[in-house]
Amino acid sequence: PTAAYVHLPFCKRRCHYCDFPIVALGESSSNAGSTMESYVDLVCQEIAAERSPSRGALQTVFFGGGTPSLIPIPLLQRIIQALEAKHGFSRDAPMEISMEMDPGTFSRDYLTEAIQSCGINRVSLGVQAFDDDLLKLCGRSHCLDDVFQSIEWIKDSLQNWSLDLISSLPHHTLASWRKSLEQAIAASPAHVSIYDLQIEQGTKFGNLYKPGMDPLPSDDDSAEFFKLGSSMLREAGYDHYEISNYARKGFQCRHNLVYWKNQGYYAYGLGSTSFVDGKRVKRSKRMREYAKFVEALAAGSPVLPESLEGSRTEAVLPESVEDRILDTVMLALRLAEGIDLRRFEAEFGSELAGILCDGLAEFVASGNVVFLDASRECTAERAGAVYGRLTDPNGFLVSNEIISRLFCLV
Amino acid sequence: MAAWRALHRRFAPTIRPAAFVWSARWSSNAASAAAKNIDLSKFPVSLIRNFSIIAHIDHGKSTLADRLLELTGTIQKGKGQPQYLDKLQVERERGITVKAQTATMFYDLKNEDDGSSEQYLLNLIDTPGHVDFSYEVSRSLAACQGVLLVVDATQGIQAQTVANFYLAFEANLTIIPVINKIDQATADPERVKAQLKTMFDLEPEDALLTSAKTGQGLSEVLPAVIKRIPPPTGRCHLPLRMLILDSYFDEYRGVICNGAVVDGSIKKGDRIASVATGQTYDVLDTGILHPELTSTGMLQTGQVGYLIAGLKATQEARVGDTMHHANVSVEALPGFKPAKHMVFAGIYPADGSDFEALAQAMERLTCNDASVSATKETSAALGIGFRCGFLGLLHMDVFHQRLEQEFGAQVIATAPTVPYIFEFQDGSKLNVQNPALLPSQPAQKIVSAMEPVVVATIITPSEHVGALITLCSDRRGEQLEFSYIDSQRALLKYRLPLREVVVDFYSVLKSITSGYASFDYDDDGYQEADLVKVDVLLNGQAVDALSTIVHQAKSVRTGREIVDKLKKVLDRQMFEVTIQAAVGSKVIARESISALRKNVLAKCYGGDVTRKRKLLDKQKEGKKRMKRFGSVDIPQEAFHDLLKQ
Repeated sequence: PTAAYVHLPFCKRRCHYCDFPIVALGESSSNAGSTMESYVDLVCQEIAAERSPSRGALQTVFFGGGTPSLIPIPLLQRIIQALEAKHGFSRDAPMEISMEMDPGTFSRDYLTEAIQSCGINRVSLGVQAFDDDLLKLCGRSHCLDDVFQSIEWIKDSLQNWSLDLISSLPHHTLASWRKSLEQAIAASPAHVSIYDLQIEQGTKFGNLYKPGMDPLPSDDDSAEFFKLGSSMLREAGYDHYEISNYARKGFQCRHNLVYWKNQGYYAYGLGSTSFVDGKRVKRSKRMREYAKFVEALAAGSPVLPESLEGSRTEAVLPESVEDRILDTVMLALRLAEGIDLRRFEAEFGSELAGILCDGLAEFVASGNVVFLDASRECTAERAGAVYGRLTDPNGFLVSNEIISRLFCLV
Repeated sequence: MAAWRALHRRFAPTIRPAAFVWSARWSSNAASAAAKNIDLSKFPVSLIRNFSIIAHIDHGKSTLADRLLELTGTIQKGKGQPQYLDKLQVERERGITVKAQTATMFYDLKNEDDGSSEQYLLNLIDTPGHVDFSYEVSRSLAACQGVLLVVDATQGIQAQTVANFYLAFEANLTIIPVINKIDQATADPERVKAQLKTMFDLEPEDALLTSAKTGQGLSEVLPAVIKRIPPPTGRCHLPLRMLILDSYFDEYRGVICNGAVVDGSIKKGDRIASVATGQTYDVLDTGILHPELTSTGMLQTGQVGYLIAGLKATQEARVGDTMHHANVSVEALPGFKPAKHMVFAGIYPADGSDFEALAQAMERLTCNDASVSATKETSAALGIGFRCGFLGLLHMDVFHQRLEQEFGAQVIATAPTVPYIFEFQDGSKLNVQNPALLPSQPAQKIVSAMEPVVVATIITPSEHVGALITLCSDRRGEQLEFSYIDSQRALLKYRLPLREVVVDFYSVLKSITSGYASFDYDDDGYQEADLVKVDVLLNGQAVDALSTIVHQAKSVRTGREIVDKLKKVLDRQMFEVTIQAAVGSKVIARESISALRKNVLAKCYGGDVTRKRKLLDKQKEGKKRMKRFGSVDIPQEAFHDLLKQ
């Protein structure tokens, strides 16, 4: 793999929609520093003990969270160093080192340091909403002023940054959502991610709200939000390159593309999932068990699923061909590029490729799927089709329907 | 429920380990028959009585039968129930008898004058109580000269009491009224006696008062049977005529027939023939049911027992058929009455692909229940399945339940329909057992449509009469009789279209009357009716499994109901779905389901892949269970919901 994900789970507090593996530090935790330090120790240990070192150097690194911008610069530096020492950083292609940052958690100096001494060259800013009431309702630890402040600092130092928004929040109306989009566009980021709010069990939102029920917008409204986002951002010059991601030319997130192209990636840290040598390994969400896992790994004990029993680190068996087929279909159809039919045929055979094409063709008449030729022009002829993709926004909106239908066939 | 009834029943032995135990017990019993030294030749016709117990459900028929068997030492008291019980789960759950059974008892009647006693051979022929199985009742009664009419002292005469009384009365049988459950606090035997007098002209002093629970009055029962019921009428010097009462399939011994020797005698080694089929067989074994198969090597005039003669399938042993010696021609006994199928339904594998498993289960079950007819049919919506004919709604339910319980076959049954007869202008007639097969817009004009009707008897506390009359007229009923059987209870008789009865009549009746009314019906031929076929269309395409035939006046209501129900169970699809109910080309009800707007997983990064895959796999499984109809997906559950009563 040439991509590495590092999970930095610390947050000031848990947001009301979040079911991610995070560690809430509280607003003024006295020993937060040492907690973070021992965690980074573990992560560096895990990186050092990696069994399948990269054959080529890393090309992308992604610090996700949690709130990575809470990690002190020296600790961040250590992780970067550990990664470079283990895998090397690519010199052929420019490195992409992304970091998620939350408004209100970092200073201008912190940002400068991160860029200059850690090599961070892409920032994903968790704005989520342009509305103080909504931010409060979501349990975010920042306010709208923090958002504008952060945007200003980032724009002063970086071009490659993403603005992350959540749609279909409680009380969202088409008008308030339009306003959020206008403000996002006005901030002029290189990249925009829009996540449709998912109500997860066990979260505060999960206890308070039912999907599609007041005060959450209805499914039909959510669909309108998605369409509005798609049309406004495309008008503003963004390419809707993945179901929930938009980018100006040249600013697609290379790290995330690795996921969607079903390529391998390393992962380090609590609750993270790696995909190396055809195996997906999910680390425990519990700190103690994750620590045991790292310990076993560092001690050189064979890290087989059996030896990890009880550690809640799920080791997934090597993916079967069927898994690979389904993962490929599921992930590729998230992309505007669509599924590369010739590559699919080369990998899985012409019979299956034929079935896939037939399955996709069922959705052409309704305008949810289009076939594209080698020059990415729409083609009605199956014979000349090189790509099959979901249309934007209608096909994307019902992607689960289409993908699960295709699952039935292949 | 009687333990002994179950003794003769052997369903699907291969899936029941208990069958091996059974078989061992049987052979040892058959062997020990000689040890018991039962010499049937000691029992001339004058010492034989054949009788049956008839009653409304839950009036204590089975318990009374158990007590009589214990009293005669045929089964041991308190013993046997659980370990002997191989009874159908469906019978246990519903408290009903599905199959008729027989048991032979020996009873010493004391002569009170001189203290001497004489041994009698008594055959108790049990019958199912429910109307659906009335053909089993009549066949059992054909072998009897008398009946015990059991009435619950707390409940009095109920609808099935009436129906069963008339079956016995029309068969010219001696009727001994037995008022049971007299130990109960609310027992009112005097009221019941009065009812018996008013309704059936049975004399109050003839009624026996019993409690099968405490044993009170039981000693009077068998003496009354011997004294009041005449012996069988057959003559021993005439050629053999044996009436087949029942048959079932045993994995090890083949088809076992139960029957009554009307004239002459039969013995092991005889060559016999069936009047109905002309086929000949060798008698491999014969004997009595005491209560298990007990070989006696012979049966004489008036005796009731079993016969094993190398029949291959129960279908060869037609109930009501006459067996005779192969080289002697005889006149058939009256009583051959083929099962009349009143209700039809399609039965399909729940998982469309699993037809083979269903076919096997059907074969095994119909082998034991010759009263079900099954022919293969194909539905565009449900795949390949069977069109089955049943004696009635309960029979259908029981069959369905047995299919699922005993064979583990998950099935979808279409809505029950009744057999209609349509006549076209060119004089041709079409029997319709599946509404889908009636052309929606026939080329030939329909000149007449006939539907089956029944005569229903309802006995109800008088305060519910008004509500029941409303119900019956809503169901297109014609009142035949309305009378009071005493100061608190009324009897209603209606002629009702069978279709109106099979849908949900019984459950509505129960709920209107809080369960206090009883109901029974009897076939009453056909009547002309203004019938139409209601088609259900999804985006213009008819779903064959949902079409139905109803009276013109009810078509709009029925169409509206189906359309509304369908709207509730169907998921939104990727396009708008129009649901219509139509008679011919005329749409009578319409609904639409707006297109699915959004089904998307908002984000999917490295850590989410497995989770999202699981979610989509789950959606895929849901999709796989769907039936694709034109372009519309109907989940299997929807058919379940739509078609369940």
